[in-house]
Amino acid sequence: MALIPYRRENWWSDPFFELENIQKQMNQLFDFSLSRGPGGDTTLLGGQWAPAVDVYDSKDNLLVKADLPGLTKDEIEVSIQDNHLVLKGEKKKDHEIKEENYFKTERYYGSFFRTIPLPSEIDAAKVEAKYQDGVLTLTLPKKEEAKPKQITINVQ
Amino acid sequence: MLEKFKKNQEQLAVVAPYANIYEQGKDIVLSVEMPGVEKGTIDVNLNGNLLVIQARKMKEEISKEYKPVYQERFPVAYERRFEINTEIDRDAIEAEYKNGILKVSLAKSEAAQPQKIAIKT
Repeated sequence: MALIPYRRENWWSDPFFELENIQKQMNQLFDFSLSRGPGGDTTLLGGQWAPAVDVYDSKDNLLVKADLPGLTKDEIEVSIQDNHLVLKGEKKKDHEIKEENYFKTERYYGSFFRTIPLPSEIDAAKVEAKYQDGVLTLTLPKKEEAKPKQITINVQ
Repeated sequence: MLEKFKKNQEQLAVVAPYANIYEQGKDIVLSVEMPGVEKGTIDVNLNGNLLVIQARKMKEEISKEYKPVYQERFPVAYERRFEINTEIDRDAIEAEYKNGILKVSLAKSEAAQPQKIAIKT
């Protein structure tokens, strides 16, 4: 089995698209080498790889989404420590498949670790987690005292 | 020209997803890592001996009250092509998407199975 490099049809008619694509790929390359090393290089924080994460903020909640493909929900550990969200776990190789039966392995395995500083205080007991299609979605309700408060000014 | 450029801004960046390829019994299995794609956008196509896998990771619908703090996950178009050099049973291709992994099983045809040859004494 051989792999064919990707080539878009009609690529010559879209020079801008190609340029933009190169730029995106370069950006990815930098992200890639800084946050997770291929072949088991360890990152500064100890995990062998770190998932890509999105963080959203609203009045009442924080929303965190992380790409964690190929795991089960028991393999993901979520905790809150010192106002940081900690995601960790280990991605294991399928033991049913013998090493000599692999033609190619590009996917990452091993431990992952990621901490995300939280912009406000969270009620850790009320955090909701959902894992679907390889994406972990966390809804983190803010503590009552951390919510923005409207202060009414009484004019006398 | 400029119009075309503007149109292209909306086009998704094309990314080749990571894949593992292995042999399991009579099957050749490809497991392709594509988290967060919508099942309806996954397209697996065998054209001659070229297997093309495509999927789209669309912009997620997030309720308007949320404002992004930071973002590392972006919409992409996944595409990867594999050349199949083994005779496979074209009617027995199976694909399954689970936990962000697309698993495509190709059954080797009878002709491609190893055949034992008896040695006469």
